Amino acid sequence: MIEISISTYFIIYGLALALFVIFALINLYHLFRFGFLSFTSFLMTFIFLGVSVLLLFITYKLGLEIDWTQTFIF
Amino acid sequence: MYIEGQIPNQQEDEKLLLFLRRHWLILVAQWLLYTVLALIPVAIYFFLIYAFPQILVSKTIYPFLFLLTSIYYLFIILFLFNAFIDYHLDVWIVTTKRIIDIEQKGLFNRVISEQTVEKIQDVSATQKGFWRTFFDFGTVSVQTAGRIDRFSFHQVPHPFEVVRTINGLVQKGEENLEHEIHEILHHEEDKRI
Repeated sequence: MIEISISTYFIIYGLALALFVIFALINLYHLFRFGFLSFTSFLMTFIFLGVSVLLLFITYKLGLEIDWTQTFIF
Repeated sequence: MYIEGQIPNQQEDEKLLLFLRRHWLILVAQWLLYTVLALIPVAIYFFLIYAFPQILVSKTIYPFLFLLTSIYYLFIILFLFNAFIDYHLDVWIVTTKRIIDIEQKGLFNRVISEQTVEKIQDVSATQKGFWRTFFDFGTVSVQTAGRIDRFSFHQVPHPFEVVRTINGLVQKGEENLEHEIHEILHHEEDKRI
């Protein structure tokens, strides 16, 4: 009988989050290195970062209500 | 790093005439697609409520779906931003001396081409389809006598006005050249006399 905690989901979540961060940084690098800076580009960057942070905050808040000590039993 | 409206490697007496990007409708169409994709988790949620409600109260499956949804929406936002970056980085610039084509073809793939106005041989515009006609955008093709023989301005607004502007520029260049040749010949004649 093998017991695996569901908090191992966080490993997969963490990897996906790392990928998100890498691609976000690449996009921001391209925009500021090669783009023609304007109010629109700053506004879009602000909205992107703001919504991303908001989404992570919502994930955190809703995640607090989940019991992460539960286990899979095989 | 340039500011909007700035000319890359600006030459002396060079002025900006046109600073073009794709029509905003192209970006909005891509965003609409991603918005529809964002509704998929909502649809699945309501499907599960009616068909498999036990999944939403499961202490092992629900947390997995929760984290999966979080990542899904993060990537939707990323793709929305990426669509904007792709739109924003494709630029076509027409100055009094050059045409510059800057295109971002995916990540880490950028093509910058430029050609002087004197080498422009032919300019044409095409506008095919209902949306392009209604919103007045299309493709401008510039034939040049250079290594890159064709510049294409894709999905730019007011393509026929762009053609008129470039043709006017070419004509002015030819008139200036004629005037210069006339001046040189006149000067040579004076010297002989």
